[in-house]
Amino acid sequence: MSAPTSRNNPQTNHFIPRFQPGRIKEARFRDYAIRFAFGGTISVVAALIGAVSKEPIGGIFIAFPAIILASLTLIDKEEDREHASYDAVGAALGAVGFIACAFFISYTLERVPAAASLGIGLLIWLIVSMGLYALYALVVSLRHEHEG
Amino acid sequence: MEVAYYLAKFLAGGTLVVLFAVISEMFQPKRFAGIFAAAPSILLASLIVTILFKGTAPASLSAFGAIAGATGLVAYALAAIWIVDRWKGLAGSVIALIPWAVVSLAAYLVLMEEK
Repeated sequence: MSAPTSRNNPQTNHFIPRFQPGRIKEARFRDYAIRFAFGGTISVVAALIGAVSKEPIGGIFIAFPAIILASLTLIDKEEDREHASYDAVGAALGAVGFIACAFFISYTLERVPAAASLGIGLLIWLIVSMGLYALYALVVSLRHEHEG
Repeated sequence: MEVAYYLAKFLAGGTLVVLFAVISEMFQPKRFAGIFAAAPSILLASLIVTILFKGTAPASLSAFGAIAGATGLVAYALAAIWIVDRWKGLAGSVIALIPWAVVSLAAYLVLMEEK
């Protein structure tokens, strides 16, 4: 559908996010089962480390790149290599948002209602990540324009 | 009590990781969808369970440690951008865990020093 146009004209709509809920039908149940097991296991490992050490070091595992581990592997199998590294670009931006989110929650959790702290923390992740993505898209587009 | 706690951690962690994976799957292009691959899914799942079972004080400590982990996550993703070009999927993902571990630990030590 839109693939041929974007191939002929790579600069157009190259960065604009597209919401395609239909894509979900292409995903296999097995892939989600692997991610579920991964996410669950990492959560338990983080909790166990926290219980044993009594220090916030368990928190390191809370940000364990489980999902990218799963998704990069899956992408690499099904699609081309380039897509896997593109996925990692987005993940790097999302991870910066994650730092902001964790900062906010750790400083507000005991001061405001927990739901507000977590909710606003998630919003901060989204805003920082999307803001960085917009900036990234702008910088790369301008550079292409300049070169081309 | 303890078994319920860890079972809740497993179920909540798994559920939120899958939830964000589904959201990621519905977006194009890949570099935008990748943002959701670094969503604070396990952070939120983990904190909700800790708050419900043990209160906000230990949850706050976990979130503090997660700042260090998230710094490592940035290192992981940046490393993965070029590592996946050189090694095949799983190998590349595992090799990228080295910068993740080093940066996470370094950030953790710095944070504990500042505290």
